Amino acid sequence: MNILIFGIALLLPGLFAVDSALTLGPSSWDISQQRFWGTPIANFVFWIGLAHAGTFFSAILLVLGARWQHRVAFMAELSTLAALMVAASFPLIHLGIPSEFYQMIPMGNLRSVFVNPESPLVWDFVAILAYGIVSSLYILLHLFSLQKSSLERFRRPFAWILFPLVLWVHTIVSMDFAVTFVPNWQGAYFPLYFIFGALYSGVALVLVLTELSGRRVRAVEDLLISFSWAILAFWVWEALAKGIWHSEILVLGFLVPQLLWISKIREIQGARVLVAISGMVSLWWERLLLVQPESLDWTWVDIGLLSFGIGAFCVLFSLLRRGVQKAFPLALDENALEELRARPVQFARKPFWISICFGALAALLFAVYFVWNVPSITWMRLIPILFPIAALTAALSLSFFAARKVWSSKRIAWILGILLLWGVGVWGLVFRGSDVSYSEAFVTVSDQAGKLKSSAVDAREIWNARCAACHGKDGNLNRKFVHEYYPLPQTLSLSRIDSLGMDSLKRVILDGRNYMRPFRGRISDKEAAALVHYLKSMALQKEKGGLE
Amino acid sequence: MTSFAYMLTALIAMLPAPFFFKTPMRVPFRAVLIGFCLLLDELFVCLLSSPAYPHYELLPFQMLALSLCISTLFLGKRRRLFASLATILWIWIDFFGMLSLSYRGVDFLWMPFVVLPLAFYPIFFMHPYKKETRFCLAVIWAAAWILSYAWTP
Amino acid sequence: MKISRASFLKLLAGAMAAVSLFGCRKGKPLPRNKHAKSLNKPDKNLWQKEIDEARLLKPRPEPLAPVPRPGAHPKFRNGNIRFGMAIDLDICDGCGKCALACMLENNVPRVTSEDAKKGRYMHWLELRGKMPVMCAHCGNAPCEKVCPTGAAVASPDGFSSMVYPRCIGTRFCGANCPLHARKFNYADSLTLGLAAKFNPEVPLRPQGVMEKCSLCIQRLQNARIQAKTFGTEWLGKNVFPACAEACPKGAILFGNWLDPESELVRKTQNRGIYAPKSVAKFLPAVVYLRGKA
Repeated sequence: MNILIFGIALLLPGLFAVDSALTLGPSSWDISQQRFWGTPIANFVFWIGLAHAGTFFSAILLVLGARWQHRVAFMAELSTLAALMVAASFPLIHLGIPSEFYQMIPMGNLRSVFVNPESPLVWDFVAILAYGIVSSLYILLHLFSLQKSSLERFRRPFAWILFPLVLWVHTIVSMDFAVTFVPNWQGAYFPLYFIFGALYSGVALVLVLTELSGRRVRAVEDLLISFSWAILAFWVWEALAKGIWHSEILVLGFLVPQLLWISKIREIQGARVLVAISGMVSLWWERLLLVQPESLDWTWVDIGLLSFGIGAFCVLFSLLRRGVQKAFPLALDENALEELRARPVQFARKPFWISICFGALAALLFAVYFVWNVPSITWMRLIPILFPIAALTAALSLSFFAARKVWSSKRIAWILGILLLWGVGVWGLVFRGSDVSYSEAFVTVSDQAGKLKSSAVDAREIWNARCAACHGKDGNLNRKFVHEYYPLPQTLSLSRIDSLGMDSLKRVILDGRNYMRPFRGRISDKEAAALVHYLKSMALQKEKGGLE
Repeated sequence: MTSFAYMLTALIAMLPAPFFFKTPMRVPFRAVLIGFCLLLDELFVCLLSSPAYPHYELLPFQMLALSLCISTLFLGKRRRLFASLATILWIWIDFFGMLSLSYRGVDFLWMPFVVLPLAFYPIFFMHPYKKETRFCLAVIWAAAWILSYAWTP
Repeated sequence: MKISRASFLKLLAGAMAAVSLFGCRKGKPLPRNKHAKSLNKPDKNLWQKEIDEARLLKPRPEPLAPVPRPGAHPKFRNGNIRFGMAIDLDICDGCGKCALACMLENNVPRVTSEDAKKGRYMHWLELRGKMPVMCAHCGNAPCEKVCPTGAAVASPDGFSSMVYPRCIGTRFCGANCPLHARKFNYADSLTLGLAAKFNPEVPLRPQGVMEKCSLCIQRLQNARIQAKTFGTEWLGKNVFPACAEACPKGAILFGNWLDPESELVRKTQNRGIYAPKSVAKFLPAVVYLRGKA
């Protein structure tokens, strides 16, 4: 409850900042003219890092067989979902035109444009989308397995899919920086560096959340110390290889967690929480300095976005926890969990391998399709999006197998049908896209530069330059070029021109018709009128020639 | 960076490997041990190599991967799991490291990715605690190390 | 949970108050892409003034590095056109007429005073010291590699083009350009009266997209259509971008690097060819001439 109120208190001012950021665009927050990236990206990297905690505790420790992982698993999984939602909102805020984010979906050439699979942002988009869906499915599976023990055998297979995926996601976030030519963003070691940074801040978050719910897990504290040593190695390497050194990060992120070695301090709950928070702060600051090393000329929107992140996380987390508490009271009851843990561990081998095969097949098909259509790309650079596609497909198929254990096939058919319908709808929306609002381009061209033409001679020049490619220099069709069009452009005979009237012809030139593109904005009204006259004069000449 | 210095880094990486998982130890102590070794690796790379070497940024972490791989040879149990995880970690570090370097015009070396997956054969299809298996794995990892040497004129 | 009438009203009032706060933004929201007429008589002096202002911010010329003569574009090895420029620094005196011509030709907007303070000028061709600097049209362009939507893309004519309707404003290209030649539309300059349509052939760019030197692609395309219409072989002859046309000393040479007859290739024989150091390794098509080879 306290978390919820705290969250709302931070979220409301944060929402104003988000509103400002969306309406005023990127100039409302601080951006250096050299890098063009600012706080939203730093916040994105930070929150996506926190989103790793859940999977780390739940999936990775499950796979590695840590005995205490179930004690923090639910908490961590819920925080993953909440942090992921917060993280996903920041890149949208960052965009110049947020409503067009879907252009990054690698849908092939459905909109006549391929995405650029070389760009780490496309990898990012796919990986985060896959991670969001798979981790939601995983938490659902976990919750339902409390009630139906037959689902328990699907958890480990699922964890094996999620384990590499979570590391993959952060690797790819690190590639956003590592592949660039910005000197302080370069680093071939970034994948590992970012993963450790993410796990470190994630562990700190879980520590805070467990302490807030009045429990203590010593193993998490041990992990915090361990990761502080891991991250130290990277900070030292940053200093040795690139000369980047920030002592405040080192103090907050490395020295302060060492206090936990002293048992007197470690026994104080407040001290533990403060140490974890200090770790998170240092990592947030580190990301900010990575994105924006030189100027910190913050506006209130920068601070508002920070407050939005924390507030939205707290609100989402506490709402999710309440929801789970209502629907699955067992999930947060430690004694009940302890009993459930005594169930024998099984591993659904056959569904797992079948799902893996499906995933591999999907990735392969995607790769073949892309390489077939865009042979010019370096296909190796396609690999980063192949794995999330494979993992997503495998997770979906595994969920299907799990669903068959608990639901009748009729119900599953219904759900699949609805999902399919929804998917087709989304696909259609993306395919259609939004209108590219270049209304400006169609503003009537006013004669400002004084170089527009209207005489008959000029009209012939315009005709030859603009129209002749399809309609032919003499007004007869240029069949060689337009033979594949249907319907063919009209034959411009005198009778037809007369029946249409000059005005409507002018409209056709300006607004387009069938395959003819509108020329408004490219030629002026006057020019269009001149063209119509020229058209008519050509038709007249042809008529005369025919009569002769 | 000369090939001799490169082999020296391998030696430095392998030396502490047997002690990583030998004695039962609390998690944070082990983390300090490994973190300290990584720091030493970085120091050695700093002294032995120069930024002119194309994989300079990557080298300490390749060393870490190598030492983690070697350390699994000395594990008492769950050798299969950890040997395969360590190998995958190595592939991971090499692949994404070289991928990001390839955007800067450094050649992408293919051979490590051909050789490293071969390690899965001894890991999964040979007896995990026999001498031959350990020998096979050591040979494969050594080969991968040699093949990921980015030769510079 | 039952809500009493009083508490419901309280809740409602609170919610209304919170919502109304959204109207209290300090800056005015900028309506996107509204139909708006450009100024009837834009004062070109305003543009000139901005150029003079901007050049004070960048008093140092770009460091140069020698490069080989630009050849075929690495993505279009078999093409017969690679447009490019050579700017003769021995002749250029930094008068800045090219910069103004560029802005007028491409309808480059001015910026708000806040953006100007932060150095966010939109000048496609800017003067760094006395040196005119624009996009180098790299063959291995870093910007093209990182653009997710393919808005920054190599043109078969061997230069780096920008497709505005594909741009969603991730600004990754701008971050990755070592020359910092890419400009971002922070404001809706048309609505603010900072843009004018001097040249009807070039669309004004909406807020939120990147832009940069296009080598006056509209002129190139017009010349191509003309050549196609009359059925002549083109090879990029007889066309000049605005900056080259405006240069009083003829210091900016434009042409096709792959056409041995072109003025560009002929006049750069036996000259020292340089490129900005930061992009020298990316096979730029826009180079600088200095001294003898």
